[in-house]
Amino acid sequence: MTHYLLRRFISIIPVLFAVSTIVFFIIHFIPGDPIDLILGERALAADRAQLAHALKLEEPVLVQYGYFLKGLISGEWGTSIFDNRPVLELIKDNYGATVVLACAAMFVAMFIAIPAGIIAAVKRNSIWDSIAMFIALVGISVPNFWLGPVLVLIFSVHVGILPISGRESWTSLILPAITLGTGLAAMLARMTRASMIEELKSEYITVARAKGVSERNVIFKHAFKNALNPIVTIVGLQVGTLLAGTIITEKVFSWPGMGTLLLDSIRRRDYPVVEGCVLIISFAYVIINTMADCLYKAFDPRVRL
Amino acid sequence: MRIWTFKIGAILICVLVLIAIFAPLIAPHDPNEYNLALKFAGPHSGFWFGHDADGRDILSRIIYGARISFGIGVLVVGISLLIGCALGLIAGYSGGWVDQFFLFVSDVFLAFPSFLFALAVAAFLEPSIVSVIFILSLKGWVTYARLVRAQTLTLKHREFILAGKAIGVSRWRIYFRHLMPNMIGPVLVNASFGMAGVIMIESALSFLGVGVPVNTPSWGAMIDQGTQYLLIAPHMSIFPGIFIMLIVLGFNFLGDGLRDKLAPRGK
Amino acid sequence: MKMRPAVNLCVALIVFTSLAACKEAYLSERKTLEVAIQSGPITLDPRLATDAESEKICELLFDGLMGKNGQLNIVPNLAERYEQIDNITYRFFLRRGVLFHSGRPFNAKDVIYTYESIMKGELTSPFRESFSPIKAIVAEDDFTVRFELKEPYAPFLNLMTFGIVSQEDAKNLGDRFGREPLGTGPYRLVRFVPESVVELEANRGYFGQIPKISMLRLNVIKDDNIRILKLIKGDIDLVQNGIPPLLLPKVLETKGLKMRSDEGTVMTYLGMNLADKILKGAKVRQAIAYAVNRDEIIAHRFGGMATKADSILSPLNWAHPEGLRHYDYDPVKAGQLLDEAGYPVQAGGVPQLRFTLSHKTSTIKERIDIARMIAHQLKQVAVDVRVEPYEWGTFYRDVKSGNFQLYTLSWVGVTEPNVFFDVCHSSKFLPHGLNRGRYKNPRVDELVEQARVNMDQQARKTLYAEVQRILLEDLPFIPLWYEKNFVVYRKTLDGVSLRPDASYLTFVNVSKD
Repeated sequence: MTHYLLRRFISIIPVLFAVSTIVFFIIHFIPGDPIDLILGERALAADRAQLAHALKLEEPVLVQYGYFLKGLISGEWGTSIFDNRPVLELIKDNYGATVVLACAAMFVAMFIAIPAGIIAAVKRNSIWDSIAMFIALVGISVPNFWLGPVLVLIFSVHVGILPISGRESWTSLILPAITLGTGLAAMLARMTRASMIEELKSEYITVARAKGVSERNVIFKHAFKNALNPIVTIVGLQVGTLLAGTIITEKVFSWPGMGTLLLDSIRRRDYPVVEGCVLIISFAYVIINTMADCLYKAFDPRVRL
Repeated sequence: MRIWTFKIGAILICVLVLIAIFAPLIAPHDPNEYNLALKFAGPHSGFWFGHDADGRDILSRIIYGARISFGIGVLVVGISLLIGCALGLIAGYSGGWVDQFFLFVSDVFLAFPSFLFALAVAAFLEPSIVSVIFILSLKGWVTYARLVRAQTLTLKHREFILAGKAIGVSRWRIYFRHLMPNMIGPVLVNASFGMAGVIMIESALSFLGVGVPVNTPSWGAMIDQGTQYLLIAPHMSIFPGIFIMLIVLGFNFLGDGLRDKLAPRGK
Repeated sequence: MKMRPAVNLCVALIVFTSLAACKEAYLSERKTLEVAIQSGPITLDPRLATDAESEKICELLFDGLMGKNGQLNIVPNLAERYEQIDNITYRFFLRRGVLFHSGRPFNAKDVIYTYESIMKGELTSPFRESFSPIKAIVAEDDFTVRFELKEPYAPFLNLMTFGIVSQEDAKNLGDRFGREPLGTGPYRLVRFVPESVVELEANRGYFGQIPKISMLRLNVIKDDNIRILKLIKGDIDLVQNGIPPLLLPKVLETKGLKMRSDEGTVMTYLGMNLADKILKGAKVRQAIAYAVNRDEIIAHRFGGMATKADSILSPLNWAHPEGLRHYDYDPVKAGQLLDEAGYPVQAGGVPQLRFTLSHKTSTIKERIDIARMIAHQLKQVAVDVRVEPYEWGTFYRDVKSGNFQLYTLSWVGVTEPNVFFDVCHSSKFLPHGLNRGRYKNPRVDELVEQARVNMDQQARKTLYAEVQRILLEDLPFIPLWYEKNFVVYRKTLDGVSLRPDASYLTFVNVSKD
């Protein structure tokens, strides 16, 4: 098992390397000159040259790539072309917001989905099951860039309770978390149901029931605990989609996270920041995915490693 | 109960496909006709979904928009399927370093943040439907490829394949006449969910401003425009949103139902 | 059984929400003017600030030797008075007893440092070229500075509105100065969180008008809907220009809000590439001008909050002449001109067209909507226009490199008519000049060259009047409209006003009951 883990983690490295390389080249070949964007139109040729030299933008792309790799490994991810702060500092300022949002969304999702899934499983094939799964499918189908504004319209405008945006009080987290969490909730509800059904069919459950354990304990103390494993790993696998979803949710709610940073720096051709963001996002995605994958394999002995 | 998931899905999709195909006949008005005096007007007779910021009829735009959604969906899924199946078959069947290389490449594609890529491509190329399709196909193929590969890996050791190899059946024939038919089921299920996903992503791209060209009545672009005027004309975003939901729902139900049909163990 | 935790959670939510609301109410008791702005400033160092937001905030933090008053006339500021010794020499007498926000006293060395740090290239500043007419700056004593120019330069005083930084503080802080600015202005910086908020506090020792409200908080709210909702809800007291005009009526339905509006100086224009084979004919360009129905666009895209334009300079500008030519909407005339220019409607083909043009814009929604309307109007005269929105970096590069046929942009903050030199002179072609359309007219060249060095304002006025008339005949670009400035604010505020350049200096006079 450790052998497997080690192999998997080592195999991440070439993937990350390939991703950073592709991103680097794409960014550099997108038309648009960061120097123009910084200095504006009236700048003297001499100043452009000076800035270009300082940013090492005059040299051939391959040479710049060399610098990039060197910086990557040494942990010096460069400074933002735009406002001169180290890329890592910018990322540090922003990733917290995204993590908070993602966690809140997951919390919301689990809070709704798990009870729903359990009920659906326990009352299999009844009207409750149908309703729950129907709603779940609907949940996956609602676009979150639509849901966001609709929720804002209803709760902030008409009903007027919740604050609308930004990150002041914790209450401003509610609407974005709900928006982002809905898709996840739907997926999770279905998984919980499927997983619970599998568990409830197992022999040890029949034994427990035969022994006279109360139905409530059967469900919660036995089946659910075991069903939890695959549920958790599915959550891990969905993190990728969650991260992608935050870009939109952050935009809709003006939530100052990584998605916002990424979009802004692409717009400004702030190469170092774009690279930094993409790398962090990809790394996070790959690592979490791999961990989830490993967990999945670990908890499901039926799957061969 | 489960059968009706499939049925609802199928009916929804059929209705929407018909709307897409017969758009010019069904749409009550020209989707591009400006009518500034009525801009932002809500639903009223003759214009059941109201007007947008230029006074254009939202219902007609939604009807034509079905063509965009299906068009892009079909093309993307089609391309992804072709590439994915081909690569998956080759990787699974060949094994060895071909397979390892394939795994590496697909990992890289999976790890790549597609929104960033969409933004980048949109900067290179003029905003167009082609570029959107291109972007979406790039990540799409991986799921099918991996699925096909997994199936191929298990099937290739089965007797009928080994027998075929022994008699000297060509590789390609093995792919198409022997392996593929056994994998169609799960592939179709994934294709169905894939359509739903593609349509969602295309809408999201339009919402971020890197989707289809200006004036194209893509539902996502309509929601984007509608969000600008949310406070005075909520109908502009509500109706397209409902339709996105319906088409995605339809494909999800369809896929769900198909999966149940193909899994005889039943849940 | 399962319900209880859920009920508890609901109760907790309600309690917390009400507590949060109470806290917010308490905080607003302190005197702070809450303003919402659309984007965050990039730097607060006036020597580096090129975007509108940064420039506006720098105006609150820094003073120049000269300043612009409410009518945008140049008046003494940090300099008490000045003398023009001859055509190329000016002497400024500095105000005494002025302190920087850091407490250091202001004197001549700060002036010299500010200009030299840009001119000598110590700081890579985008303004270096603008100061190239200056040959030398000499401190005659602690409170007198002499500027020597290379040749007569009429717009010189405009250069003197540049914010002065403190030499010691700027040197000490180095790169950090843009985040921790120290000037002499009516406000001092308390807190700057990029893309989030800029908190300013009144400078009690200011030599001019001290702001009436002690704290000014500029909240960066990028999303239009959210900005509006916050204003409606009362979290924000004032928004200047940051509301889509079509939503104004809805916003003003809120009882506690009021609006003021006035003419502005932002001029939006349709740029054309005169090197393009279709657009190089003046008749074609004039036809396009006749085919655009600006009244319709102003009514339906601006809700009336714009006025038709006829020049880069706003009508409020001293150099703007009377009686400039109008291109009123006349599609019939447009069609005739196009026929004459050799572009009749092509027979056959559906729809029948004369030619196709591409119109590039940035991805700002308002720009795209306007471009679409123009396309719609041009279609009526059988000209097909493809609207192509490009992401800003790409768009800007295309404009600068001449890779376009039509595009729309705006001139912001133009007060000095020397702008015609930068925009219309044939030496200012791309990629580093502002003559993006590649316009060349020897007579215009002559006029702007003369006006640049002629020190007599009346003479300049006549010269520029002729320039503007010629520009309307040649039409290298089509002036579309001047956007009005407006400010929406709580009724409880007093003293709210607007300047034509939408400067934030008007906040100094605002008070809260």
